[in-house]
Amino acid sequence: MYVYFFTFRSVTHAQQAASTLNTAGIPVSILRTPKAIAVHGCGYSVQVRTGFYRQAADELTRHGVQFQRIFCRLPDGSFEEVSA
Amino acid sequence: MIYFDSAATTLQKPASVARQTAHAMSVMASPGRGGHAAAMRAADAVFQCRQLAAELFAAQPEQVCFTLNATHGLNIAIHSLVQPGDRVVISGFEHNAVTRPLYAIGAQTVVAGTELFRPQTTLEAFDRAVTSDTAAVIVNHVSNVFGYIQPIEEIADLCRERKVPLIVDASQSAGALSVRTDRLGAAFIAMPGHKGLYGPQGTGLLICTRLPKPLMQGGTGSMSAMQQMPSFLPDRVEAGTPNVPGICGLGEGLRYVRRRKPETILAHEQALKNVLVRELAPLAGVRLFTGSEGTQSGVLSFCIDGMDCEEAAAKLAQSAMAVRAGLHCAPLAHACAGTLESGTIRASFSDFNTPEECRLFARRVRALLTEKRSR
Repeated sequence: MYVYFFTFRSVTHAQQAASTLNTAGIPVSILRTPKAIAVHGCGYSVQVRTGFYRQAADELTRHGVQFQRIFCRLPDGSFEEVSA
Repeated sequence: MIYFDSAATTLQKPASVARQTAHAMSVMASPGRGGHAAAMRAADAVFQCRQLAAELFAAQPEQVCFTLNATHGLNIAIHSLVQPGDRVVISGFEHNAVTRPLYAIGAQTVVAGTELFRPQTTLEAFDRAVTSDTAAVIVNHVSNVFGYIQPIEEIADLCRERKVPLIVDASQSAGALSVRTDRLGAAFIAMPGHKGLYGPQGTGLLICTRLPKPLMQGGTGSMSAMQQMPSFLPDRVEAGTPNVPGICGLGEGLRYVRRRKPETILAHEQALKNVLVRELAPLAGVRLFTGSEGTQSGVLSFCIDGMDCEEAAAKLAQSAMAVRAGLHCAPLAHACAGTLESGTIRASFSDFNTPEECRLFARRVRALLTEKRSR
């Protein structure tokens, strides 16, 4: 199963996203953005499981919650950027 | 003790405020820094407080910025909009938290609306004063000295029409009157957490509908590799570790205000003010500063002829009755009301005061008058 990371500029933005997605019934968790994919040094991400990532992207876009980028963690632990 | 100094800070607060503040001290770490449980607990609590404030003030959570107090928020707002020499229009009842930063910046301050409890006259004065070359308008929603409720919504409409940014000092109105970003369209709304929002001291909120200029630079837990402060809210004006225990307590205060509803709290405080006015009005030698229905909050200033206001407050304090006297950090308000020389004694109420306290207080004032006459 793949895990997707929506990255955000700050914890507040990640929390706003989590709140929006929880309301939409999408299970998420907030965590520190892995260093490998952190933009400008550090940030927070919302982690979403496979099967939910497109719905999550749609919900966030619909509610005007801006995320930076979306990454998929591959089985070998590396990250691949994916499009919304 | 009868505590009538809520305009300075509310002393009686919902029990959950102290409980949550103490709880946070032992289980909450620094939000927006680490990813461990204690850090995320803190982040969640801080975000919940933002959400509660956003709901009350019709803002987005990220527009809710935590400050140390209203003065801190007002300084951020004023320094964001005003340059040296800029023309700024203020009301005649502004606090030093507004007039001192303007003085320090070297702004050209125009005072509009100098008549107490005359909203129509105030509005007309602003109508004349606010021109296209006005850099900002700053208005105290409710005077901390006299409780005068200024016509903020009408002034906001005027500012919007003339495209002049508005800063609202909601220090005495947050938690009692309607303060909504969607209605006011203000660039910034500043308020303390420790007065009408029943949070601890050391907390405040600045609601930002435009990007402020940071007053302080430092770590925000975001965009750390960049040397500029973040260009987004709330991080732009939240450098350093926030007052997490205070914010947790403020969250409880906001829950209390939401449960009670601001209009209920205001009605209670105004009713208390009316009880005190009825008790003091017949007393010869007591001068009350009162306005017509709807023009005054639960703040009442008065003077006692021939008695120094600080002396009167000290005698009341000896009887365990807490009021404030003097200029209340608002000499401009006193200048407009004609009380700059005398100062005033100010009784200011909270949701936790009772009519019986007002009657006991009036009895003590009566006793002071009797003592003064017998000397």
